[in-house]
Amino acid sequence: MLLTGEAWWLAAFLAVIVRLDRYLHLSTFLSQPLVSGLLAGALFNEWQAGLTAGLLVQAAWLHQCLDTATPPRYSAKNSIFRRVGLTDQPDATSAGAVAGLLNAALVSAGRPVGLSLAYALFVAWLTGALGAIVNRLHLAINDRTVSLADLYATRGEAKEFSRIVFLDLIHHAVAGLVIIWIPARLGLFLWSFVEIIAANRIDPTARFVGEALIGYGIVTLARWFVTGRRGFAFAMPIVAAAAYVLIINMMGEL
Amino acid sequence: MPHVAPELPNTPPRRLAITLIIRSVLVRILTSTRRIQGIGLAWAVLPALKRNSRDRKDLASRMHRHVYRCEVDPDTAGLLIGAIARKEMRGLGHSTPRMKSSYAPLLFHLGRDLMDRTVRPLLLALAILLLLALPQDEITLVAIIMGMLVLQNTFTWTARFAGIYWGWALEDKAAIIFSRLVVRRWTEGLKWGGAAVTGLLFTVVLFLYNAGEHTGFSPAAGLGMLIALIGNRRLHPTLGFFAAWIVGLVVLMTGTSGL
Repeated sequence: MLLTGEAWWLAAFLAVIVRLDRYLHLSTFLSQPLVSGLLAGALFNEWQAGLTAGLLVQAAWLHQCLDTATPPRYSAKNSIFRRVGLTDQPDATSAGAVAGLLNAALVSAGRPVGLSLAYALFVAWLTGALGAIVNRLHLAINDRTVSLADLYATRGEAKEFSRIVFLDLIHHAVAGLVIIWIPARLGLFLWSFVEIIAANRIDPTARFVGEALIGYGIVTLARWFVTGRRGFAFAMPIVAAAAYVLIINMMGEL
Repeated sequence: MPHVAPELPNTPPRRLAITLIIRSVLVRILTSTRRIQGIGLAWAVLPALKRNSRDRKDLASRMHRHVYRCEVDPDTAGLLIGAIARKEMRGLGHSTPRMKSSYAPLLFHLGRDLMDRTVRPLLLALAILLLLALPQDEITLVAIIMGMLVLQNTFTWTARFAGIYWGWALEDKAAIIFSRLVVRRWTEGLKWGGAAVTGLLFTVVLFLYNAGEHTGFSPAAGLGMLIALIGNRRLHPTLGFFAAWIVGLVVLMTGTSGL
C-alpha cells in the first residue's frame, strides 16, 4: 500500500474540512484548490507536488468566465461544469483536493507524475462523475431535511428545528468523505492500470494516436464553448486518456 | 391604543450577540432550491425570535416568517441578522419580510462582488506573484500561504462580527445607505482581480508544463485563451488576463524564481 493508515485518516479529515468549508462557506480559504492542494501535499511530505496540482486545478477553475470565483449558486445554470459533466462547483473544487492528494501520494511513492495536467483533469472528471451519482442521493436527503425543517418551523418546534440543522452538518461532513476520499482511493487503484500500460513502452504509433485524440478533444471542447451544446460529453475522459498516453511516452519511463 | 415599539440599546445583549455570531457562520446550512438560504437565516436568528415570544404559536408564526426564500451572502449576512434580531425583539417582526426583500439582495451582491470576486482573487494573485518572485523554500512558502489565510480570515470574520453589531444599531437604515452608494458600480472594475489571477496561474501552469522553458504559446494556452475570450461577455477581464499573463512571464524570465 502506498500510504500508511494514519495518513489516510488525516486525508479523510482534510476531505471533511474542505467539504464543509465549501458548502457552509466558512470562507476560511481552505477549500481553495491552491491551499487544499498544498495541505494535501504537506500531508505526504510532498508540498511541491501538492502545490503544483493545486495551481493546475485553480487555474482551470478560478476564472470569472467559469464562474468559480463565486460560491455555488443555483442560478449558475450556464456554468462550464454542467457542460463538461461536473454537476456542481463544490465537486470541481473538491477535485483540487483530490488532485493534490493523489499527486502527492504518487510522487511520494516515487512516481514522477506530479506535473501532469492531464492527470489533474482526469481526477477532476472522475470526481465530478462520482459526484454526479452522489449528488442525486445528496439532493434527496437535502429535500427531506428541508421539508422536515419547514414542518418544525410551522409547528414552532425550535429544538427539533436546531436538531435537523445539525443533522445536515453531519450530512455534509459525510459527503466530504464520499466525494473526496473514496475517489482518491479509487484513483490510486486506476493508476495501477496506467502503470501496466507504461511498462510495455508505448511506440510512436500510439503516440501519434494519442496526439490525434488530443486534437479531437480540443476541437470538441472548443465546439462546446462556441455552440454551447452538451453532446460529446465523453470527450473529457478521452482527452485525459490521450494526454496520459502522450505524457507517459514523453517521460519515457515511470 | 397604538402599539409603541420598545426602544432597545444600540448594542445587542452580549450573550445574544455571541450566539448570533456563532450561528451566522452556518447561514448556508440546509440551502435548497426552494428556500435558498431561508432556513439557515431563520436558524441564525432563532435565539432572538425565542426571546420574547409569548407561546409556541407565536414562535411558530415568527419562525414561519423567516424560513421563506432569501438569498444571503455569509460574509455580509451579519448586517441582516443584526437588523432582524432587533426588529423582532422590538416586536416589529411583521416589517421584516419587506425589509428583507430590499435589503438582502443588496447585501448579497455586496458580499459576492467584494469578497468572492475581489478580495479572494486579489489575495490569490498576490500569493502567486510572491510564489513566483521569492526564492522557493519551505519557510517562504508556508509564510505566504499562512499570510494569505490570516488576511482573508481576518477580513471575512471581522466583516461578520462587526455586521451583527452594525446591523443591530442601524436596522434597515443601512439598506438606504447601500442603495444610495451604488456599491456595484464601485466593485465592477475590481473584477479584474479574478482575470489577473487566472492569467498568472496560466503562466505558472505553462511554465511547469513545459518543464521550466519559457514558451510563448502552446495548445493549452490557446485553449485557455479561447475559454477566456468566449466565456467573457465583457472585454476588460480578458485584457486583465493577458496583462497578468505578460506580467507573469516577465517575472519568470527576470526573477530568481525557484518554480
